Amino acid sequence: MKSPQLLIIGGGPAGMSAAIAAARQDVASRIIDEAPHLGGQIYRKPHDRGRTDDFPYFQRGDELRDEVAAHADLIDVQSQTVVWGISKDGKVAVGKEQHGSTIVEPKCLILAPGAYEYTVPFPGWTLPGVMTPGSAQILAKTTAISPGKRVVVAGTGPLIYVVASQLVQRGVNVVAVLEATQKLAWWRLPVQGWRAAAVIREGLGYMNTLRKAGVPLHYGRIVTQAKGTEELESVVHAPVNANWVPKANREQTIEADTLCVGYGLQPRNYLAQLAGCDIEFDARQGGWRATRDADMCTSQRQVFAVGDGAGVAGAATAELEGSLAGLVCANRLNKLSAHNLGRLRQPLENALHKLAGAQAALGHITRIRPGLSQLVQDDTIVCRCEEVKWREVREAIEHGGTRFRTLKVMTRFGMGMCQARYCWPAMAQKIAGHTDTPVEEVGPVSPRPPIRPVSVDVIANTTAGAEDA
Amino acid sequence: MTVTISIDGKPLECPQGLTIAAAMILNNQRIMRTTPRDGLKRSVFCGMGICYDCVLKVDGRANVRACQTIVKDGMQVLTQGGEPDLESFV
Repeated sequence: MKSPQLLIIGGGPAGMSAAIAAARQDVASRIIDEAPHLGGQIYRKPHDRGRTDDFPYFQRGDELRDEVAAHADLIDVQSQTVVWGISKDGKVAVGKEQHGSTIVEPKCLILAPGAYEYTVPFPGWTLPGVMTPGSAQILAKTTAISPGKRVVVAGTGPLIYVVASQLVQRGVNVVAVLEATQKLAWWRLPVQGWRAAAVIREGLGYMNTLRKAGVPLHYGRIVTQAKGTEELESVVHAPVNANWVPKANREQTIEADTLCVGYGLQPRNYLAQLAGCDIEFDARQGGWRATRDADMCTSQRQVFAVGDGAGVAGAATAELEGSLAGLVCANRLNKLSAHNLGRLRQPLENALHKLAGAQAALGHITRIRPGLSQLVQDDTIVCRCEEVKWREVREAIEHGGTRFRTLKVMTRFGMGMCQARYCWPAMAQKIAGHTDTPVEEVGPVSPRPPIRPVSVDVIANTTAGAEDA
Repeated sequence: MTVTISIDGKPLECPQGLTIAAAMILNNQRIMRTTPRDGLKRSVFCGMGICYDCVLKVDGRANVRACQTIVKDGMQVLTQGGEPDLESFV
């Protein structure tokens, strides 16, 4: 094993592609990944129980995994391993439960942490049975286990259609799909013409699966409340206007034991923030992400950001961005001439450009609308981990708190195990609206190491000294 | 291939390779913990290891994510309730 000068965080399509592109130029790399197997969320390796024949996704995941394995002499894969800290001068703390941690100082660092779901607090959203669409997808896709007996899928974005149709294919009883966006808003896709053809074809396939199974699909409706004593028993939903403000007098109730609700995906940006990269607010997706140049390089010269973790655009874009960053790193590490880099990057950039139009249209259609912030009531839990209610946050605002840091200290909001990942993005929007402040000023979370909950012994057993320097 | 784990003292036979969360849901048992402040029930939310809502006690270790932990034969799982048990963090 050659000592890697390139460290890649995340083993999904972006991270694997980066490692492969670098390996083709004889650059050794190390991939750090949390999961037992490479693949990320989209290409998560199925359990034996999961049938894989009906999902073309699995095939691409296997192809990428095979190619990484074929470069085993150059690509070192560290699975079930987390990065819990990065310093602004490029030291990376890599930890493994029951093993300890190592400080690594790579010459080039590629961040490919992926995305997670954008969720919004609403009354009843902490009841057992309410989950993200991705959560139900993992159960159905990888283990063929049904998340429940009567399932409602709700929210917006491509993922809810993917999940609803995958659940139907697994024989799950999906009783309704509720899409927040009005049907008419989807015209933006067909006007993209051939550039959106693949996206439209894929979408129509999901629609067809739902129609054949007789699953009702309602546009312009959002879930306003989840009800149940100990677990979910029913889902209340209402029609919305173009800003997603629900019409409360027209609420309807569906009996259900499972609700999969999510409003698209957002980048996992904490690593980039810790590394000292500049971040910007992405109004379309409602989260913060690292700024980058055409080389996929962040404001920190040795740090690159690729894939959904740098701006949600799907697996095809993630692969291309990963490959591009891998090549740029090969050039930085003197394994690829500027001339050859120029030659090899051209087709990647052309392909990225082709995908961008449809992605932007899709992003615009499913963008977060302000009405979502109006669902919380005074006694609604807004921080799942610390069980902080909106009333407490509202009162803290009345006492002068406006930013994440002050509200956190005043209420314990955002101080739990998820480290504000699930509460803050939506609450930043809510607080911005409530206080009439731009959301950029309300601010992002200031993550500090450890950015994942790790056992004390993992931090205590840290081997200093840069093995790769 | 199956393994047998115990959940709150009751044996549960389940296919090898599942996560604790999948094994519990397959057995129609989805409550993983009771919250410390309000005493409310919680189950899997994100399913991908980020939200930490499905934590429970596994072989004496508290705050283990059910959605990320693969079942092993003889594993002792306790649903987590109320205040955290500080001794189990050590």
